[in-house]
Amino acid sequence: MLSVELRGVTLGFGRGPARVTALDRVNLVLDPGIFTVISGPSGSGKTSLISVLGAMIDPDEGALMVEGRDVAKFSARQRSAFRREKIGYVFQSFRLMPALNAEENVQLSLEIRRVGNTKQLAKNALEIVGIAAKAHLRPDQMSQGEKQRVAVARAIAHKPAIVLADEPTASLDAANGAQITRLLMNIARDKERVVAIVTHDPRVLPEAQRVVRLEDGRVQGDRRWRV
Amino acid sequence: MCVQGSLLYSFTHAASRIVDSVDGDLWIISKGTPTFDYVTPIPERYAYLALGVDGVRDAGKGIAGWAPIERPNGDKMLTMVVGVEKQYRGRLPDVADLEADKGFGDSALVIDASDARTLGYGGASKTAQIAGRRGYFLAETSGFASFLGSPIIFASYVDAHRYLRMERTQTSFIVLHVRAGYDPVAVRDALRSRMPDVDVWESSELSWRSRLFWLVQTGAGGALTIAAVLGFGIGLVLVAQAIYSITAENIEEFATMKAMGASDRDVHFVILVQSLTSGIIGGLFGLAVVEPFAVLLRVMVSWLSVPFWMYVIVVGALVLLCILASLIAVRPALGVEPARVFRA
Repeated sequence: MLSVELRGVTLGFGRGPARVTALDRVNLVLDPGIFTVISGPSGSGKTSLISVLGAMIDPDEGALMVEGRDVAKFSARQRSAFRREKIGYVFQSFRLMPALNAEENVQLSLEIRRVGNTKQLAKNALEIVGIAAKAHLRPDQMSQGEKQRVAVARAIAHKPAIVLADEPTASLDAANGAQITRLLMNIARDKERVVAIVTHDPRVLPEAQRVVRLEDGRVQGDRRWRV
Repeated sequence: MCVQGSLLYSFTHAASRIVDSVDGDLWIISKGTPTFDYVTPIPERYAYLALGVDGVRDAGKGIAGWAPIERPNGDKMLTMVVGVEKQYRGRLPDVADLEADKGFGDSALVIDASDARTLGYGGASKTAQIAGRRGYFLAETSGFASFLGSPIIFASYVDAHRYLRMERTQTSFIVLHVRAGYDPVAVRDALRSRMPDVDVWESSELSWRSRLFWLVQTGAGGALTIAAVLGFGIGLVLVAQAIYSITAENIEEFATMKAMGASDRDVHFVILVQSLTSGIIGGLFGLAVVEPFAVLLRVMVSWLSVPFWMYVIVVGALVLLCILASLIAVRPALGVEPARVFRA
C-alpha cells in the first residue's frame, strides 16, 4: 500500500520583503485507509499543502516522497504520469467540463488516464456515488451536490491510490456536505486509499479519523480518532 | 483561398491558351520572345528550312499581332489578331470552314462571346474595321476570353496576315509536327543548331514560358501570386485567432485536464480537433459559396475557371492551416499552471 510523506516542506511566494511563506518545514505522513482532514483558517497554507501533495508545485525545500521517491526529481512527463495514475482530485468548484454530461466527464478522466472500457467504469463510479440515474445530465442541469458527486466519481473512477479533495463541501448544504464527507470517508476505509481533504468547514471534522491543523504554514496539531 | 487559387490557375492558363490550343509539336518564333503574346514577324522561309531537318514531318504558319479595331460606337481599341493555317489550328475556331459555310470569300472573324459584349458587337452589329480593313463577325466562341483586356480576334491565316499588314514573306510563328519515332527534343536541338537566329521551343516549353512571363515578370501575375499566398496567411491568422480565443476562454478546462495528468500530447490533440472542427465547418461554408461567387466574378473576369481539383487542394490547405493554427493556439493551454485548479 502506498503512503505519502512530506519531509520538511517549505514553500514561499514572491521575493525579497514581499515574500510570503505558505508552508514552513511541514512534516506529514498520510497513510492509506485513514480519512485525513487538513484544517485551518484562511491563509494557513491549506491550498499550498494540497498543491504540493498533488504534485502540482515543487517545494522550495524538503520533499514529497511517494513510494520512497522524491517527486520533485520526476521529469515533466513522469510527473504527469504520476498525477494521472496515482491521484484522483476533487476540486472546490467541481471543474466539470460544461459541454459534457456526467458520464462523459468521468469517461474523459479515464481516457486521459489511458484506461480501457471507459463507459462501464464511468457507470460503476457514478453508481458508487449514487448518481447513476443522472449520468445523462450536463453540469448546468445538476444541483451543487450532484455536481460534487460527479466530481468524486471522476476522482475515484480509475481507482487511484491517493484521493485529494479541496474544500469539497464548501458550496454544499449540510445534507449534501455530510453525504460527500461520508463518501470520501468510505473510500478511505473500504478501499484502503490515502484520502485527504483540506477544509475549513467544521461540519467535516466529526467524520474525520485524523485532523491535521495548519496555522501560518505550520502543523499546529495532528490528532487521530477511531483508527 | 479557392477563388484566389482559381484566379491564379486561370490566369496562367489564359496566358498560354493559344499555344495550348494550336496543334503542333515544336514552335519557331523570333529570337528572345518572352511570351506568345509578343511574337514579332520572322521570315516564312524558316518553315522550308525546318522541313530540311531530319525528323520534321511538316510545317505550318501562324499569325499573331496587335491591331486596332473600331468599335460600333466609334471608339478604337487594340486587339490581338490570330490566324493559323487550317491543319494546325487544333482547338482554335475553324474560321476558314465557317467562311465557306456562310458564303464569304474572306474577312470572316470569330471572337469570344464575352469579348464581343465588351466591344459592343451584340445584336445586328457585326461589321468591324480592323486596322482600316473590313471584317465580319460571323460567330462567337468561348474559352478564349482575353486576360489582358484586349480581345483576341480569330481570322483565317490569309486575312490575319492582311489585317496586320505584314510583308508577304513574313509570318509570326511556325508550327512543326515531328515524325513518329523521332524524339521532339532531339529534333528541337537539331533545329536550334540549324537556325541560331530564331527560338525553337517544344509546345509545352513555350506554354510554360508564356505562363512564367505573365506570372513572374508582370505585376499582374505577381499580384495574383501574392494574393493567393496572402489568402492562406489571412486564413491562418483568422483560424489561429479563433482557436486561440476558444483556448483562452476554456483555459480553466485545460488546467483541469493537466491537473488530472493530461499530457501535452492530449492537450495538442484536443486543440487540433477543435481547430479542424471549426476549420472544416467554416471551410464547408466557404466552399459552398465558391461557385456562386465565381459566377459573379466572371462578369468581370470572364476567363476565370474553378477546376474540381482546386477544391481538393483547398481542403488540403485547410487541414494544413488548421494544424498550423492549432500549433499557435496550443501555447496558452500548454503554459497553464495546473495548480490553479486549487484556487477557488
